[in-house]
Amino acid sequence: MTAEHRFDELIHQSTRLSIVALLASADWIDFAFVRDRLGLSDSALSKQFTTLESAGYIAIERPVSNRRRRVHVRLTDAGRAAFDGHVAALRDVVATAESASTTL
Amino acid sequence: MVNDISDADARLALSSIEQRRRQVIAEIDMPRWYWWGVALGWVALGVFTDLGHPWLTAAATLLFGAVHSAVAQRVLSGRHRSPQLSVRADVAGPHIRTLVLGYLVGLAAVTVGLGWLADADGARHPVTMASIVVAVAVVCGGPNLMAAVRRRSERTARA
Repeated sequence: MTAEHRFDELIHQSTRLSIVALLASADWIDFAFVRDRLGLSDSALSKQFTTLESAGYIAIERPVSNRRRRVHVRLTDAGRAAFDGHVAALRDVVATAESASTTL
Repeated sequence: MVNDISDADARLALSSIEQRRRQVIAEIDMPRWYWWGVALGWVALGVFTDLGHPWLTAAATLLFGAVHSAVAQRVLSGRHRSPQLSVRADVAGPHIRTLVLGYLVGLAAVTVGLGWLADADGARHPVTMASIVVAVAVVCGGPNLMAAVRRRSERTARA
């Protein structure tokens, strides 16, 4: 499937870009994994998750395993389409710059 | 909107995306206990074979196969080493299960070959000796096999 090349301002913010990039390679990721890899506090990460969830880009689930409540986060179809489109748009920018530099 | 960012910003963003993808790829693996379990089972099968009771060897082989197939359901995909995430199937690649099983089948052939050689050389416990050598290959080679899978996933991600 070819993604629509569309720059997404919401995803482009560096912390959210890192979060969505992690989620794009996984079916789901635990809250703690994202927090540890990005070096964020719980509250800072929750805030970014709320923003992404409000946009419909991620879904947050709270399964209980071994009597422990966990927080699993996954990219929704809309989130994946937006991320793929954003990556395609970024590649367009790089490709345009490279073709401009070769024609000079 | 695309024109609002420079190519340097775009490169930086793409580099950040690749770095995060590599962090997920680094989680593609199988638990160490799997390789140790297979190695110990292998040696046990070798010992039972050398005891010379066909029924005992057959029973041990069936038990080993049953336990392995029960465990393999979950771990052979290489996507669930960590309880903190599930790596996407298209990121991990479709061939991990086939690769690992092929590796084990290959090692089974090596065990038989080494066993024959040891037997021809007059060893008292040829199959045990062969299975110990192969068990070392399982414990050392298994993680290296998964490292190769991760390198392949990274190359695929960059393509």
